[in-house]
Amino acid sequence: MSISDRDLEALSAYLDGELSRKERERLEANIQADEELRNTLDQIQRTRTMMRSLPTIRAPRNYYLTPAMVGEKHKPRRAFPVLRLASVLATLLLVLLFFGDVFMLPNLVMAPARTMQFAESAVEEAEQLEVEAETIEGQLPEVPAEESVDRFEMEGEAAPPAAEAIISPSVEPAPGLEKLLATALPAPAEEMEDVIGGVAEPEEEPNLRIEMRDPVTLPDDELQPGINLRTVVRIAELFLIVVALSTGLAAFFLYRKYK
Amino acid sequence: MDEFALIQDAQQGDLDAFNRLILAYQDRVYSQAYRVLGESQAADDATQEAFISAYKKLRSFRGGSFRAWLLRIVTNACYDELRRRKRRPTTSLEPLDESGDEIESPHWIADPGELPEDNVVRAELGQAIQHCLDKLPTDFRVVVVLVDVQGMDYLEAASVIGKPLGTVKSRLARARSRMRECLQGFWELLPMSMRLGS
Repeated sequence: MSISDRDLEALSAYLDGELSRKERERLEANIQADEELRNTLDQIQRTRTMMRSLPTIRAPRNYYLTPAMVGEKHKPRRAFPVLRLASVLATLLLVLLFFGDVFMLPNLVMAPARTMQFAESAVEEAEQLEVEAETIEGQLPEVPAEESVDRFEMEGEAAPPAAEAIISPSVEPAPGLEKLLATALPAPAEEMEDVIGGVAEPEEEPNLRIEMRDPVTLPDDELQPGINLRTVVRIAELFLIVVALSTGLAAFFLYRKYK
Repeated sequence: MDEFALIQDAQQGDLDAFNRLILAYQDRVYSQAYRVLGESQAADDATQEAFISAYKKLRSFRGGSFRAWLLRIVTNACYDELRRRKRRPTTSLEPLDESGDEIESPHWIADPGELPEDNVVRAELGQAIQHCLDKLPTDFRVVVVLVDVQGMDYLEAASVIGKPLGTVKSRLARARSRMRECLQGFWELLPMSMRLGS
C-alpha cells in the first residue's frame, strides 16, 4: 500500500501536534496496523529533526538604518503638529478679529466722529448767536445790570447768570442757547422799551457777553484712536491671513510627503 | 526597553529604536532570506531591503507577532528577488558535469580546512540540507523554513504567507516528503541516528 498525500499530511501534522484528539487516535491506530506508515513516519521525523538542527545563520553584518537610507533628512514629523496648531489658532483669531471688525469696530470709530459733527453744529449756532447778540446789544437802552436782572426775574423768566453763557463742548449746548435767545435777545426794541420803561441809563454796559471756549476742537489724541484702531485691525488681519495660509500649506505638504 | 515600547517609539519615527529592533532580529531575518534564496549576497540584499521596507511600513503594524511581521516582509523580498532571477537568469556558480548538468553534491564548495571532524560533518550536512531546500518549489521551501528552521507554529506560518492553515499543512507535508527523498542521496553524510530508512 502506497502512502497518499493525505497520509503524509496527517503524519506531518501528527509530529507537530496539530491534529485533533480524534484524528490523532485514528492515525495512531493506523500506524500500529501499517508497517509502511510507521516507516514513513520515522523518516519524516528524522528529516524534521535534521531540519530543526540547522543553526540560525548569523547575519554577516549589522543592518542598521541611517536617515539617508530611509529618506529622512531630519525629523519633519515633529514640525507637523506645531504647524497645524499654528494654522488653526491663526484662523480662529482671524475669524474673531473679522467679526469684531464687522460688528463692533464701526461703533467704536463712529462715536468720536458723531460727537465732532454735533460739536461743529453747536459752534455754528453759537457764532450766529454771538453776532445777533452784538446786534441787539447796540439797539438796547443802557440799563444797569442789577436792575435789568431784577426785572427779568420779576417777569418770571430765567435770566442768564450775569448774562454770560459758557458754551462747553457738552452734547447739549443748543437748548441753553435757544433759551437764552428766547429770553434776552430776540425782543424787538419797542417791546424792550415798554418793559424797561423810564429806567435811567445805566452807568455800566450790561455784561451781555457770550464767552466762547473752543468747545468742539477735540484734542488729537482723542480723535486718533478710532483711526489707529482700524489700521491696526487691518494689519493684524493681514498678518493672520499670511500666518494661517503659510503654516497650513506647510503642514499639508509635510503630511503628504511623510505620511 | 521592551519590544513593544521600541516598536511604539519606532512608529513615532525614532530610528534608533528601530535599529535596536534590527539588532534583535537581523540573524533570524537574514537566516530566512538565506534559506529561501540559498545565496549569501542575495540574502544580504533582501535583508537590507526588508528592513528598509519594514521601517517605512511600520505604521501599518497593528500588533501581534513582530517576528512574523518581519519574516513576512523578508519573504516577500525573497519572492521579488526570485522573480527578478527568472526574468534575468544568471550563470550558476555550481560546477557542471560532463553532460552539462550541475553537480548535485555540494561537497566541492566545502572547505574543511582545520575544522574538527564534527564541525566538518555538521557543515556538510548543513550544505546538504540547503541543497535539498534549493531543489524545492519556492512555496514549499518558504513554509518548511518557517516551520522547521524558524520554529513557527502553523498559525504563525499562515500569517506570514497569508494563506489558510490547510495550505500550510499541505505544503509542509509535501516539502518534508521531498526533503526526505532528497536527503537519502546524502546517506553517508548523515549521522547514524539520522540515517533514513534504517
